[in-house]
Amino acid sequence: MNQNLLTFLILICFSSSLYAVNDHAILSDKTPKALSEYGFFSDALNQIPNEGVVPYELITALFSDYTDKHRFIYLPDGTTAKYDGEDVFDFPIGTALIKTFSYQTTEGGTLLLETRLLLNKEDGWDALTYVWDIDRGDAYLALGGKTIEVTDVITPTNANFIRYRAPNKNQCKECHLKDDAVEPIGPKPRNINKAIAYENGIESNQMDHWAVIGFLEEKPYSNDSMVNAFNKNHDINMRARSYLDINCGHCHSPQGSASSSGLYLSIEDKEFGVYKKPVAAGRGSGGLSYSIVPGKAEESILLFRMLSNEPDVMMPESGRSLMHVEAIELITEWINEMK
Amino acid sequence: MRLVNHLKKQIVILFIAGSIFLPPKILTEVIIIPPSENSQERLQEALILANPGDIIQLTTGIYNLEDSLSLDVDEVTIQGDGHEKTILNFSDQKSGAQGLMVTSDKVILKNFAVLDTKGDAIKVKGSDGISFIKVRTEWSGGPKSSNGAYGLYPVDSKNVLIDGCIAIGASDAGIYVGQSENIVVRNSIAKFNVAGIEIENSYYADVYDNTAEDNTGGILVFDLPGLPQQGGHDVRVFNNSIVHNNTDNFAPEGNIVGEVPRGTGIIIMANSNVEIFSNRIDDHETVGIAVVSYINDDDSDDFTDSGYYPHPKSVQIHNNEISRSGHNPDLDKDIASILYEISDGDMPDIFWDGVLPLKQMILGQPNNEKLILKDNGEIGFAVMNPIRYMLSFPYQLSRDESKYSGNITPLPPVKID
Repeated sequence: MNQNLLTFLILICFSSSLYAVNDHAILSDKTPKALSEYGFFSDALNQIPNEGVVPYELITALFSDYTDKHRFIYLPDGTTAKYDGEDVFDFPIGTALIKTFSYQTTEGGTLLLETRLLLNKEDGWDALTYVWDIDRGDAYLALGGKTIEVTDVITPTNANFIRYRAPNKNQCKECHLKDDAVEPIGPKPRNINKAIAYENGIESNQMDHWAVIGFLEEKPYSNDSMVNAFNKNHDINMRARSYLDINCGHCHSPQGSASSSGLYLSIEDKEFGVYKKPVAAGRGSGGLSYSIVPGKAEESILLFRMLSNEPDVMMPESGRSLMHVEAIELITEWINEMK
Repeated sequence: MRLVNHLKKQIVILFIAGSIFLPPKILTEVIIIPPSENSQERLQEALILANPGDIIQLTTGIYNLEDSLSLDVDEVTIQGDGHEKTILNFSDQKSGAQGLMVTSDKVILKNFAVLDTKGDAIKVKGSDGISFIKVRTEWSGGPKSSNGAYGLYPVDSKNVLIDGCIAIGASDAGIYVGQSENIVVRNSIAKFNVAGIEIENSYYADVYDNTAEDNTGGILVFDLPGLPQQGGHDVRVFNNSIVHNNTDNFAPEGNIVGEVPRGTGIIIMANSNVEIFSNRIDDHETVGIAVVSYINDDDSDDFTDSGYYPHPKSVQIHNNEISRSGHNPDLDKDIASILYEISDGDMPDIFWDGVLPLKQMILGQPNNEKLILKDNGEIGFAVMNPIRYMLSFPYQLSRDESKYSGNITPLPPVKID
């Protein structure tokens, strides 16, 4: 082959993988004002990712007012994430976790709300959100958060008005804080240990796929996984604990924002609120004595706080304005069957 | 020529000296945020973009806010023109469990008010160095169980100063310091809260020169089980004016302060090394000072918590002026009704429930752990005999104060870094 042609082809290959995503934007101290500056998407309005940006799913997800979530992960060329036991993978500097929130509209379209980023910079993870401006075809940085009043979208409970809140930067931290550092919550082995369909139509376990494309070190992984909280074929205890882990466990852990409550809800916590008294709950206690009273969902604060939309009562404190009806049913059944 | 050289030298020396004595950051910026239509976004963005050393200056006026605000940058001061002039109004709050949340170190909050939040007014978590100066938190509709739980609420923090503040209407505690260390609460006013000032699961606290009036209970020093930090100790409560805390308990049920009887001056529960002195404690319908154990009377597994000690010890109460206690006890609450029953209605100014580990109830307490009462004037004192009470034997109450005399060992003052 002609030497020049070879060089040309190599250059083309490199340029497509090097220049699709803007590594500099991810690492820069000057936070880009527009989402498009990162180059994560080839067609952002339809959430079609660029090369090197890989979709992923969680087994059970955090509830966010019934939004659809489009998750993607990007690792800089030639870098690999490593296992860190059961914890979040040890991702290389320059990693981006991308999550777009949207609704299906009653007219059959998609309403993009915001795209949240977790960027692994030299001095740690940075949490940012970009709120969509469809008319301008881009999403823009919203450090102070934004309230989006949503109507005419499809939700299982037919909510006709949703006061959707894109979190401010500190609210991102509130949930993502572990000790004094921001950390991703979702990408732990147990949360992604499932098969999804990739672009070519081939189904593959996400960890296997990540290993094949060089995102993750090759290593036999444990078969432990969360269960889909809403798949009734699974054990109810595992379903409930999986739900609480991903929805509550990040704050309700000894290292999290709710550490001072003494109520810990990660899946590995042996005590998870059974006969646990409220501490500084105020009206959040609902006049009830314990977080969980086995056999009595109606006397359990945990359920009471899922059944509220009042700011000082509801849990989680931020990130929802609607009730998660399916989860309420799940937790009710779980507590009532508990001995 | 020589003069010029000399001057040059001087300038160089001055310059070097200047750069040595300049603080590490070059500029302290004052960021002025007046109230506006979009106070929420503007204020929150300023709080996020602030650099260490900056002052966020709020001006005179009302800031209408629908969502909670938060600060996570070290060494920032948020200040207004005074708590009567600069108002953060949360009466239309739609989201957020508090008005303002602070999670960074060396923060000063000064000269503003936080009004009518849905939940807590100002919560500070995990901060080393937090000062509240002349800040007011208030629920303007008076005492109601729908009010937020806490006014000033530092938790899991170190080096906490609350000075010249006002807390009104909290459905739990007006000033609540929880699971913290090195604490000074002074020159402040707490009224129409369930608990005026509460120090809970905390180490090294000085509470002095405050006024607690018209709360359900004036000042509480508590320790509770099942928390990351427990074993509260070294708390001094002195020179306070604690008067007519006779407001009906309006705490939502299920909270520990819901147990506080209307008309209580001070309660010390399950702490060690507590010194209560030189306070004026007047006109309490149930009791002036109560010293009690944390009693577990239900299904919880509190006492499997091996790190928790439920009894108060090494409590010294001296030189207080206590008057007019127990003239209308709140018989809906256990402490009050038991005391009323065993005292035949002759309520004391100072009450100790006498509950100790069983061994100590029979063989006696170690000397250095005993309750000491000294120079409190002509007061009524009563201690329960819990064993006789449980067995319904006679003589369930002793009024003999002489057993509790002794020398006072003053606790050292708290130092804040």
